[in-house]
Amino acid sequence: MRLQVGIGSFRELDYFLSAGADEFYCGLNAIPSHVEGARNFSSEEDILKAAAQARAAGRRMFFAANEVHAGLLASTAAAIKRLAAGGVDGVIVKDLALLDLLRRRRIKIPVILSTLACCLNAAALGFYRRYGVERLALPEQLTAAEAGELVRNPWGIETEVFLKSRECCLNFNGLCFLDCRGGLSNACRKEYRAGGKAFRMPAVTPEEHLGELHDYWRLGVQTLKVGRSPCEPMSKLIFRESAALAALLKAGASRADFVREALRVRRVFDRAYALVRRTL
Amino acid sequence: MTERAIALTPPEARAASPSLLRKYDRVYIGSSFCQNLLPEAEDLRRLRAAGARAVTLATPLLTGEGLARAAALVRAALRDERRLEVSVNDLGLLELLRRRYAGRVIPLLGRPVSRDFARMAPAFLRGFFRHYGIKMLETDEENIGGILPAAGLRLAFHYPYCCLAFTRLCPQPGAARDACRRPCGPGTELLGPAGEKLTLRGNAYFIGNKPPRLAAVRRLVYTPPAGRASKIVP
Repeated sequence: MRLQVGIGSFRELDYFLSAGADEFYCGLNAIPSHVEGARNFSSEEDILKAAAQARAAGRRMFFAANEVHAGLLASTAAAIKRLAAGGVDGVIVKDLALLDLLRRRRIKIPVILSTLACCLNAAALGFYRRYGVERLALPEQLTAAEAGELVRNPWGIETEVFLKSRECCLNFNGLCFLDCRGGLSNACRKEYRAGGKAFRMPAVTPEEHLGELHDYWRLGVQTLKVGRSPCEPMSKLIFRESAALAALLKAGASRADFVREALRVRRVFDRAYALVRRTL
Repeated sequence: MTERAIALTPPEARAASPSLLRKYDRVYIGSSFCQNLLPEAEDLRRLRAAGARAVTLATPLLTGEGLARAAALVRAALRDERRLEVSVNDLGLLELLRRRYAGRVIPLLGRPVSRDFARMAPAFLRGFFRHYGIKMLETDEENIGGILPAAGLRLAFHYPYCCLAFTRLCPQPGAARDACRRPCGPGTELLGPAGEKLTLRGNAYFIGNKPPRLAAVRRLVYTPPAGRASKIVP
């Protein structure tokens, strides 16, 4: 599996280049891209410089332009056109109006459909394919079994999956309007009271997520993706854990062996995450 | 004149009295949030027989399996009905309805995806609605008038709940992600650590809302308290 990681600075680019990332994606401060507080580049020039650096190292750089409301549509399309001409390898998009505008203006750039678009079935993927989608970030709320028809789609559209054992929204992320600060303080992780009893929004266990990661890999998902957390040390840890798990998958372990070993890896990283959290 | 509708899940619809159904111009059956709450074709027949004046099938985002069930349901419903109104969230279903049933199925753009669409460029929206023959945009956002000022679209407003989030990891006791057949439990009031309030209904989290006074609102859709369809007081 390829490893893709979200970055927001040259320092992170340098770090993840040397750590073995295959692909990068980044955002621009002026264009909303979902994660509140996510680190972004401040100018198109910086993104083009970062893309050139990635390309010189044989890697690819994508640009995330999620959640583009009407007022930003034209300026976002213009920015994407400039970035495509300058060498950015693709754009990550959720918004249908932006996809439509890119198509109408004949802006030639590979499109990755964001996980936020909630594309849950092959018919929906066929719909988006007409807008030039070449790759799909699988929705986090799908199981691997349900994602089979998307991964093995008839159009050769590639797929990506997040390391859901670390980065998975409890609700449909593209349509969630609860307070969210990218893992630092989220309404969905709080403890609520319900008639005098404690209530937490349900989550999938790490063991289930890791078993599904093996299923995704067996299905043929090409890319393991690490999101842009507002916290740089956290992104580094998630990337390193992803790299360890990708190496385990490559070694060809059975599902049961993979889950057992992946849980051992997870316990090691749990300690590191706890240390980082204490510094926040 | 503003049309008045009531939204019921299949178990609520089965328990609803004819006198209740006849109070409204239209009955929504299904769910905009959970594919395990798709009704059976028989549920639609029963609603008609019980006196529902018009029926809208509510559908959520759909997995491949859910889409197959929704498509089969529409096919079966169109054996009984000349035309069928369907509230759609899934773009795969929307495309399928256009290709197979243009003119017989009248789509509405459902909530929650309408939140995104309402923020898209008005020119795009008008073209999209025209292409798919979409009759109305459904919303539960009180400030929709400020979000969607220029598109000239007709609105169906859902109250008294505004959805903030929904999940496939259903909080209802005993619910399963892929094959839940249990009726949802009663609504639950949740209180957060900072005093924030949410209402849990089925697999979705809501806050309260009230219909705005807008000329574009052509339909008001009332959702009764969960699990109490037989005691509904509008």
